[in-house]
Order: sequence, then structure tokens, then C-alpha cells
Amino acid sequence: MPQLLFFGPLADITRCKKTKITGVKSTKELMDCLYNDFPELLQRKFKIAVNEKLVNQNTKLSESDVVALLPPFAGG
Amino acid sequence: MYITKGKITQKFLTLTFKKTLKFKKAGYPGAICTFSGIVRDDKDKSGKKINYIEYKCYGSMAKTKMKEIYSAVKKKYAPDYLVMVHGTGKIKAGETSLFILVASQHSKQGLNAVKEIVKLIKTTVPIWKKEVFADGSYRWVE
Repeated sequence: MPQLLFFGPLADITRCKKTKITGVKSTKELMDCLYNDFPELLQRKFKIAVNEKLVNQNTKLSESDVVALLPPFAGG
Repeated sequence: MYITKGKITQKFLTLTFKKTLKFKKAGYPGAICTFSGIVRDDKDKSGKKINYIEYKCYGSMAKTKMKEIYSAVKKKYAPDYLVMVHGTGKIKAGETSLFILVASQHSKQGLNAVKEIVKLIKTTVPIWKKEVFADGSYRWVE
């Protein structure tokens, strides 16, 4: 099952940094699930990375994928 | 080294400068350009004093992105020597969170490279910072 990572303020909303998620086959299904569980995410800006690559469109997920929700970067 | 735990130490900075000054690949570099990102002794909008900044990152992706920046800058500017390190974890006011050094034959080449690296790090490397106040409360910088 895909692994899911949350960073920065998003981890505060979900109250976890890492979890596994069952029953989703794409990033769209994943986000529908997350928006349902954590409606506050709808107010936040973030990017989605699958296996460390940013994705802009709905992406098919496999069992070994690592999906990360990345809020706006603030390094420096 | 691209990402380090904690602040970037004075010892690291000193050793890096010493190493750079001895670098003779293409004769001595004509320019050594650096950027140090220092945590400010700051307050938030309501006047609360920031105790320290805590940098968090997506470790593996951050390293990959830093490597990509390193390679792209090497290719574009062909510096004699390039160092770029970002600190993570708790970093206090006055301490260094980001250090970039570009040794090149000419100043324009070095200065442009440093400017581009700072911009790329801020926009493409998954690093986040949390301002932590004296009372333990915090605010993510977005």
C-alpha cells in the first residue's frame, strides 16, 4: 500500500508525519480521501510528489509508491 | 555535503575557506563569492520574540534537489570550486543556516552563480522553517 508523508504545517493538520493508505489507486482518489478526513487541507497550498517527483496531474499509484504532500518551500 | 544537521559551524566555514584558497585547478580562482544565510534576531508581527528557527526537510528529496542544483550550476557557470550546504534542526539567531561558496575565475560568473543557487534552493528544495517563540508556540513560515 502506498506510503504517505506530510510535512510542515500539513503534518500539524493531519497530526501525523507518515502513514500508509489503503484502497486508493491514484493521487486524485488519495486527495478525495484526505479532503474528506481533513477539510482544512482544502485551504492550504501544497504540491504532491510521488517517489520524490512532483506531479501536477492525476497519477496512478502502486503499492510501493511514496506520496508526499509538500507545503510551499521556505529554505534559506 | 548538501544538508547538515544543526547550524553550519564556524569550523566548517574556516576549513572551507582554507581549502578554497589552496585550490589550484585552473590557477588561483580570481573570485571567491559567498552567501551566508543567518537567522535574524527577530520578532513576529505581534512583537513576540523568536527564540530559534527549526528547519525541517524531506531528507532524501532535499539531497536529490541540492545535487541537481549543484550539477546544473557546475554545468552553467563552470566554477573552479563550489560548496553549498543547508542546515536543519534548531538554529538560533546569529547562526548560519545556509552557506554557499563559489570560486571562479571572474566575479560576474561567481556572483551570478551564487544568486541563482539561492533562488533555486528557496524554490525547489523541500525545506520548511518554523519560528519558535519563547513561550513554546510556533509559526510555520510560508
